[in-house]
Amino acid sequence: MTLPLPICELLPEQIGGLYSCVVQGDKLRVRTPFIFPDGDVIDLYAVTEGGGGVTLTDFGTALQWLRMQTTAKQRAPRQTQLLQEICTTHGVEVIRGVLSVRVPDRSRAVECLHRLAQAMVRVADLAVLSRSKTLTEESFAEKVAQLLKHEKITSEPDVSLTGASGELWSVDFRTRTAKVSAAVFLLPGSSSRTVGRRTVEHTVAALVDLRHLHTTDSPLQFVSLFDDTDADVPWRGQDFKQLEKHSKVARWSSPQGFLRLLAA
Amino acid sequence: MSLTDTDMAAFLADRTKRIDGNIVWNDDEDHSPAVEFRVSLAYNGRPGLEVRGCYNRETGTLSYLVICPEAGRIYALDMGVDHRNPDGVLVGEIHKHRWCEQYKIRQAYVPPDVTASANDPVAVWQQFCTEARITHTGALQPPPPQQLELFT
Repeated sequence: MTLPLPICELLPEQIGGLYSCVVQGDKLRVRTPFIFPDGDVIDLYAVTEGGGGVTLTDFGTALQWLRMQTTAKQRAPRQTQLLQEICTTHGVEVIRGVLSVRVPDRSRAVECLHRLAQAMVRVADLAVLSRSKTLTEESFAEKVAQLLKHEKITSEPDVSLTGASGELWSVDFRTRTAKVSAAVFLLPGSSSRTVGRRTVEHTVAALVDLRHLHTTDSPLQFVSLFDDTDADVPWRGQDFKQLEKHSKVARWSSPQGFLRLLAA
Repeated sequence: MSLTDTDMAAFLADRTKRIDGNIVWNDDEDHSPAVEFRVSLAYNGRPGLEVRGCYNRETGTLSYLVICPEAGRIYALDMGVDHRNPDGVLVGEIHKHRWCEQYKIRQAYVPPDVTASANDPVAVWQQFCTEARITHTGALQPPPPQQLELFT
């Protein structure tokens, strides 16, 4: 087979030219061919540590670039989680916002450089994802999960329960305290009245189909938790009334009230 | 409220843009080698704009930028880092990004009016505000001395 381009022959010839090195004080700056999403060139640095070892580092530039793309005051928990996954995948250390890789010996220097550079590119891509509200802002479910964890309430997220009709319904949390086992349905805030109504109607349908679980030997208490703190379109009185017929209703603006329903 | 080229031109031409009060550098959320600040930019044409600064003594890089909540960075001065435009041309280590509909923030140019060194963030700040037609009624404090070495 004749290849259109002898890539493997050209690689050693051309790849070196893609990089340049400049001494900058007590460190070596390596200009790479990689760029951040806005076109800014990715530089990384080689420093010699006290024991004579060499470390490649970004001195915090990847996370610095990420911070400068948004008005958010802090990284979202999901971004921090993804950051850790990226660093684990590429064998990169992150401490105090600085990505770094220790170079074990000369034969692996370029491999380490590429791992660090790729990690920096991936970290920067968290900014593209961060324009999605679902990534930058903690979801309602995440906030509720944190509260349950903080209050040491045994819980399980995303539990499926079978209704009397045979339909499978997804419950946001199943909880268990000393006196009460509960199924918690979340009604997150919304920017659309239509979406809010549909959420209420769906929850009512689930509660009606699951009501047999309320009267078993191990009765399940149903709790509908409204996020009334973050809705562009506020919940209406009839939304709460509809769910009060089939469940205990709680509001996120009163977390203690919610916790009392889970306990008693 | 999406941004347009017309909005961007009006923003840059507007001479009523203002930042009030003194500006102080602070550690970032990770306590990295960089220091940062963020302040509100008063501008009648669009609420919620912020101006941010970031100075990293280790890398010798300095950035001042305007962020719009809906569009992200819309105007930014970067010093100490090169930039490749969408046509592949490298612009140089002092460049300004200016948002446009075609390239968003990816297009940069060499600003003729930034002559101060990145090691003098206060002087650069004054030149940045002048070209951006931002009136700063206070003063930008110099960055604090560098704290602990990360690599020893």
